[in-house]
Amino acid sequence: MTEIELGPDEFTDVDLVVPPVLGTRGDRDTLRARLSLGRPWFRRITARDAGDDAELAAFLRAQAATSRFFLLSIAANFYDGDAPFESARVAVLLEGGTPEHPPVARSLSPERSSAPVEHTTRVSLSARLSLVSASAERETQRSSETLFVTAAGEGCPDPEWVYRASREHALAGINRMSLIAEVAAGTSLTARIALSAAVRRRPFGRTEYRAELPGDGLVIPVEQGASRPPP
Amino acid sequence: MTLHVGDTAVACRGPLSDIAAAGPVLAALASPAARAAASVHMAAHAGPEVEAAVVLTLLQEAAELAPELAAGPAGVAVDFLRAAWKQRQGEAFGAVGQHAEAVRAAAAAAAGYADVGLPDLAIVSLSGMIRHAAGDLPAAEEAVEAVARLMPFLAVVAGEEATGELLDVLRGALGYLADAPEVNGQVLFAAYQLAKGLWFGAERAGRLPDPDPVAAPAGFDLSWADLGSFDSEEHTCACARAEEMMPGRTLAQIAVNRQRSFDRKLAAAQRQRAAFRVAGSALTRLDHVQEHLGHRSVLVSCYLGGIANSGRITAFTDILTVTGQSIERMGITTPNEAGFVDLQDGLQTLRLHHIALNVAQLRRELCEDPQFRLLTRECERTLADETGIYLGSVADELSSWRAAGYDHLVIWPHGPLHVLPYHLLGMPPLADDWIVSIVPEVRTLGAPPVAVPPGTLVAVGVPDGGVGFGYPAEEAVGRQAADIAALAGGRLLIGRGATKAALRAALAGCRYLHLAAHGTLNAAAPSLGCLYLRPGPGEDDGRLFAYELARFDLRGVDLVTLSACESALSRADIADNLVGIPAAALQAGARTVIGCLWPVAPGPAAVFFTVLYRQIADGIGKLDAYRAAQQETRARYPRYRDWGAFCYLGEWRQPAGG
Repeated sequence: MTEIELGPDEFTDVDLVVPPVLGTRGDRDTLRARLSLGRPWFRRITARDAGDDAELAAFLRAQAATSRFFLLSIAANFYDGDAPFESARVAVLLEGGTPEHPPVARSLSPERSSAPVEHTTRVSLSARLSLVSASAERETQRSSETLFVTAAGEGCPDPEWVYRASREHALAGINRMSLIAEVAAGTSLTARIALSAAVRRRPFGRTEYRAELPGDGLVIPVEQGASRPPP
Repeated sequence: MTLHVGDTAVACRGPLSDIAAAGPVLAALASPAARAAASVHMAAHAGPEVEAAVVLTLLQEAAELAPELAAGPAGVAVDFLRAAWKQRQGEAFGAVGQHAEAVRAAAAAAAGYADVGLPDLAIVSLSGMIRHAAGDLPAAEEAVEAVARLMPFLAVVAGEEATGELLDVLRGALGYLADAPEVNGQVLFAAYQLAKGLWFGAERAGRLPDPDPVAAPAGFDLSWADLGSFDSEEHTCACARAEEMMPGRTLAQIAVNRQRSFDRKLAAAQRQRAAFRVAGSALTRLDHVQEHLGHRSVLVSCYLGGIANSGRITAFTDILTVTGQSIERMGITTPNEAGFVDLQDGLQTLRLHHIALNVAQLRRELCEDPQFRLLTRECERTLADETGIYLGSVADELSSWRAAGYDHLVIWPHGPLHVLPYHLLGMPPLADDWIVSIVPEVRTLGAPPVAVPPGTLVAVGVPDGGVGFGYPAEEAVGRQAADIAALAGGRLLIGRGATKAALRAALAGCRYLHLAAHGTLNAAAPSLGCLYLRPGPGEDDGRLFAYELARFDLRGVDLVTLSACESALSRADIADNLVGIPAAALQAGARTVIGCLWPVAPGPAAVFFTVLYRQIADGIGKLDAYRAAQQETRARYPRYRDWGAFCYLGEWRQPAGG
C-alpha cells in the first residue's frame, strides 16, 4: 500500500439554486453560504508513485501500454442552516477515451459508510490500485441502518456519491470523495462534476437544489488533449 | 290464543312462539283489514324461535289483504318488520350453509332498512351479509350486486363514513372472489365502478346542476399548506378523508383544517348530486366497453383490494384486462401486507393503500436530479424491482398483445395508482412500445365517444401570474402559448388579458384549451390546487382554483392541455373520486386532459406541447399526437423526469365529427 498526499483544500462558496420549473412546492429562494466546493485535485498515477509497493508498481507498469490512471479528488463542505440538508448527490462524468474504451472509475472512496468519514488530505492505494480510505469506513451491520454515504458507479463513466442525513448524523462538514479513473492510453480525459442537495423545511417539505456551477457541471481537464478549458 | 286487533285489542302477552296455532283465529276474522292487522301484530310479537319464513309469509299476506296498510302510516312499521325478519332469515340460511340465500335475504333486509330511512341498520345488514359470501362464488357475486344496488342511496344519506363501510363490504366480497377462477366479469366490472370513482364518473357522464355551490373558506391564505410530518407525495397518495384533520393548535393547522373541511364539503355535495344520477341508471356494462374499445386499445383495470387468506384479508391487486375480443383476470398477491396502512404523526392520520408508499417513493426518485444520467441509480433499481407490483403478469402479455396489433394501454387506476407514471414502468419503459393513457373512470366508455362541436383553440399564457405568490416570471410560458396559438390559428390570451373572467368568456366555441402558467397542487385540500392567471377586478387575485375550474363549462372542449407543474395530479378520496386541477377539467366536461405529473422545466414543456399541437393541426388524432410529442421530447430531453412528466388522461377516441 502506498499513500499520496493531496493538495491543500481551497474551498469556494457555491450557491444552491432551484432549477426553473413551472411552479413548485415550497421555497424557491437560492441557498447561499450553505455549500463550498474544494478545488478539484487530480494527478496521474504512475509506477513512480508506487513507492515501496512493488506489486502496485508492477501492476501500473503492466497496464501502461493500454491505460493511464488518474487520481481525482473533490471535497464538499456542507454548512448547517435553519433548513438542514436531507440528502446530497455528487456526480462525476468522465469523458474522453475512445468509443470502444470510454474512461471508467476503477475505485471509489468512500464506498459506503453509516457515519461521516473523517476528513483527511491523504489517500492510500492498494496493490490493485484500489483506494483505501484513510479512516476506517464504518460499514453498516444491519440492513435497516441508514447509510450516510454510498458510492456507486465503479466500472462506469458516471460514478457518484449519495449522502443521506440521519437522526444520528447531520449532513454537515467536509466530505472528501476520491476516485481512480482509467482511460485508454493516449487519449484525453475530462471530468465533469455536478452536485445536488435537498433540504426539508416546514411547511414546504423537501426542496431539491442544484449547485450553481458553470455550464452543465464543473469541467476538469484531467489529461492533456482535453477539449475544454479549465474553469 | 287471543289477538288484539283494533277495538278488540287486549294486552300483549309477550313473544309468540306458535304462530301456526293462531291460524284459526285469523281465519275467523271477517274483514280483510282486520286479518291483515292481526297478521302484522302477530309478526311483531313473533319470538326468536319462530321461523322467519312464517313471519314473512304473514307480512306478505297482510300486504295482499290490505294494500292500504302499506300505504298508510303503519306501512313504515310493516316494512321495518319485514326488513328485520329478512335479516334474521339471512342469518338462519347462513347457519345451515345456504350462502346465496343468506346473502339474498340480508341484501333484502338492507334494502328494507334503507327504504324506511335506517341507513345504519342497512349497513349493519350488509356487513353481516359478507361473511356468508365466503367461499361461495354465487353468494359473493350476489353480495357485490347488493352493494351496487344500495350504495348510491346509502352513501348519500349516511355520508362519507358509511361510504367507507360500504366499500369495506365490497372489498370483503371481492376478497372472496379474488382467487375464484370463473368470476362473472360483469359483476367484477360493476364492483370496480362502485369502488373506483362512482360519483366522479357520474358527473363525467353528464354535467350536473350545482344549485347550492359550497363557498370557499375566507380569511385564510388558501395556498397555505402545513402538511405536518408527511410530505406532499404521501398526502397525494393517501385517501383523502375527514380524519386527516389536525388538532388546530396553530394558525397553520387551523388554516389547513379549513381547507380540508372545504374539500370534504365539496365531496359531500358531489356525492349528493351524483347519487341521484347513479341511482337512476345502470352501471356501464363490460360488453359495451368491449364493443367500443377499438382495435388498438387494451383496458387494464387495477383494483387495490384484499384476499381472504386464512381467515383474514391481506392485500391483493386485482387486475382485469379487456380487449375487444377478450377478458382476462390476473391478481398480484402481497401476502404479508394488510390492505390499508394508517400513518400517524401525532397530528394527523393518513390512510394509504398497501402500495401507496411505494408509489410515493418512486415518484420522489423520478423527480430527483439524476445529474449525468437518465435516472438515478436508485430509481433504476426501483423500476426494475417494483414494476411487478403494479403490472404483475400483465407484463407477460404485452408482447402477444403487441403482436396482435394493440399499441395502446388504457389504465384505469385505483387509489395512489392515479399518480403512478405507468408509461415509465419497466426497464426499458412501457413508453418504448406502448402509448399509455389513463382513464379516471369508465362511465363514458360503454358508448361511442360523444360528438364535440367544431371549435377553435384558445391558448392562455401567463408568464407572471404567480409573481404575487413568490413565483418568478417565466417568459417561456408566454412564448409557448403564443407559438401554439399561431400554429393552430387559435386565440391567444396573454398578459393582462389572461384573467379568469377572460378565460371563461373565451370558452364559447373553444375545442382545444391550452393553459401555460405556474401551478401548484394543494396536497392537503386538492380542490384548492390552482393555476396562476393574471389578477382580475375585485377580489380576483389571479388564482384559478380546481373547484372553480370544475364550475366552468368545458362540455365543448375536446382537449385541455396544462403546461403547469403537477397539472396531471389529482387526489382520490376513500371511494376513489378524484379532486384536483385535471379532475376539475374533466368534471367540467372536457374529454381529455394532458398535464404534468410533477414539476416540469419550461424547455421540455415547450417542446412537448408545441409538437402536440403541431400534430393536431396536421390532422393527427390527439392520442397519436401525444405519442409524437412524447417521443420528440424524449429525443431532446432524455431524462425521465423531463419527457416522462406528461400524462394523458381521459377519452382517447376521436369524437364523432372530429
